[in-house]
Amino acid sequence: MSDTSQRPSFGGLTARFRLDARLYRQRGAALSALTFTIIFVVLAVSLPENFLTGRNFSNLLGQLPPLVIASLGQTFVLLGAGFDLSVGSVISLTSAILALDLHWSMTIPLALLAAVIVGLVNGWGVVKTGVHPIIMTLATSSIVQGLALTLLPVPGGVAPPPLVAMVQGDILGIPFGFFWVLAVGGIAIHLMHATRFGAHLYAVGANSDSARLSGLPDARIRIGTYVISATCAAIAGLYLTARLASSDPNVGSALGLDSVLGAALGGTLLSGGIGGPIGTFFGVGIIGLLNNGMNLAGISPFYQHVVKGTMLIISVSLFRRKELGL
Amino acid sequence: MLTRFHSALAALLLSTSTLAAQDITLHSDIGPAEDAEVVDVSKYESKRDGSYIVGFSNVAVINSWTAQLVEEANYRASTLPQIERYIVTDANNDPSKQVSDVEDMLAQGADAIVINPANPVALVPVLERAYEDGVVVIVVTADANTDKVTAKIMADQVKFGTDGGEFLVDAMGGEGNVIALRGIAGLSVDDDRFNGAADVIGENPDMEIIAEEYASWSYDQARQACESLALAHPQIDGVWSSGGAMTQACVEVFNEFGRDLVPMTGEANNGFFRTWKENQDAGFDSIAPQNPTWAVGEGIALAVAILEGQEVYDYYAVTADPYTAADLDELYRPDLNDSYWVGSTLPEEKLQELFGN
Repeated sequence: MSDTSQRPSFGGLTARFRLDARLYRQRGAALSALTFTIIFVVLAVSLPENFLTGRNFSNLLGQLPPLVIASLGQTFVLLGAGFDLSVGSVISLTSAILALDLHWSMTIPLALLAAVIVGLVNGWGVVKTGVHPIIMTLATSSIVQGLALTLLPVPGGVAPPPLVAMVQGDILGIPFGFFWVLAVGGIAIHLMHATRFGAHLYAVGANSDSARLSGLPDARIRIGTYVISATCAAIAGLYLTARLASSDPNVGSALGLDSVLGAALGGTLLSGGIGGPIGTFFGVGIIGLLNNGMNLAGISPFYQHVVKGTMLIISVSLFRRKELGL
Repeated sequence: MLTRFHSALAALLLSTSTLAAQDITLHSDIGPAEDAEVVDVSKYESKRDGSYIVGFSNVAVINSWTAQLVEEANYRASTLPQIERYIVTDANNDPSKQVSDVEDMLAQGADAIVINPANPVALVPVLERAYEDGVVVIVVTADANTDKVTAKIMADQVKFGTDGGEFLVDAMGGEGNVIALRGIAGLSVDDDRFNGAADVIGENPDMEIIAEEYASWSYDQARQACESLALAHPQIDGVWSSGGAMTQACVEVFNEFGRDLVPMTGEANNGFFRTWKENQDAGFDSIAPQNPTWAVGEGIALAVAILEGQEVYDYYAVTADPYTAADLDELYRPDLNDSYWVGSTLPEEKLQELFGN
């Protein structure tokens, strides 16, 4: 009897520890949500006539999905202690592929396939040949950007009509973009928090060597994160192309580093193992509110770069690497 | 001096436009394009209250030309008392950010949007949406592939090229080898300029464009490009250039190589004017086509004119003639630095503040 009475309590302890660890990994998200709320309230109080309008929120919900989706992908790579600089180029390549003189039932799968290949090459390079993630993805980024410009030297083409119909429009005033975020975000949260892959990814990101020694498929998991990131980038590229109703071989260039910014502001550590997709929503939300708020307040556009950079330094310095490994 | 004249004109505008009945006058170097039609201003009657929100969505500040463009736009806006609120955004060369910028302006109830689009296609949906919502949409300096805008003001980049090409034909006596320094591959501005020049040069059987290099309109890239072209081609009789900074670089390369200066086309920029003037004694001659920095400012004035119900056209072309050696003494400003673009509408004190040595 004593054995059986002890077992639940022991199990309960483990469960509580697991819960604590999970909370600990997500504490960045809480801070991020707090920052988001503060900025939201400040904007609502100071710019009620412009900020708190249905039109503005519907604008924001239309603007942010590509960055949310790209940042969610980046979050997986960062959690695995990697770094993906090729996100922007993959978005551009997707856009360029959509402009090919083929039916959309060919171009859309082709774009997704191309992204998976880029992700596999990134993952293979980092994991199997040991090239530093920044160098590896910088190199593939350059190659992919070159391919995009080869396929489509100047902006043009017509985005696939069904895709445009899925992006430009709304249901009861809620732009379709919101549902894209809901779908990709739902899958990301599920993957991260309800599958073995997610649990293993935290372990691999915190300490790749010990994870491998404990028998986790370290290489497969890390390669997987690059494939997820590239696929998310391709989805962001589909959305952006439809939003602009045309293709542009440079459309992703600004989103590459912003995707890191979104994840980092959301509390995901660039050294891996800490953070997650929920925080990323708030991180990207902060970027969106700052851009939108400063536009609405008529603040010089140059300050927007200064503020974004400052936010990144603050957010990264709040969580130090030494806290890792718990 | 032309600049003095312009600032006097601006001061005049400032004083006269305070009288509500006074019409807004556009710059004398733009005029209705060939098939331009009168804008149906009745469409905007409901907005006509003498107090407007005007937005300028700028694509990016990437060089001295775009920096001056924004300054001229801001200044022009400040001279129009009908503008109650003036909003400027910078899209950092990102078309999707520019779409968001325009959406943010619409959210703020902009009555007019003036834009130089990041590319000809990406902004079309949002601009058409704004136009259909009854907002005055003015596209300036870079085109958008749609007619659903209120008006356009375009610099004729083909003319920029033909102006240079005609000068070369004349200066070279219709014969000899030309090298071409181009801007950025795939940009319509560069294609239009080059095609304009190539067409004129192509009409002369004894003239030939023997080589072309892209140097991004930048001084340092053009130095490398001109060095390799000069080494590769012992016989160069003329240089066509898509921009003044590249010509500046090529003049210096020729001087360093000890080669006789040949006719080269330039641009209406103070830095290039300095080089031109310094090398006039060595027999250097050039021409300086204009790509006015004040075009967006005129777009803002045009937007207000339309909101005020003035009779204006839906398509304006920049008709500014190129400057020649005869204009050089008058226009070159040794008291301003190389970044100053000649033909500005900015007042003297602003010029000194921005470009004073």
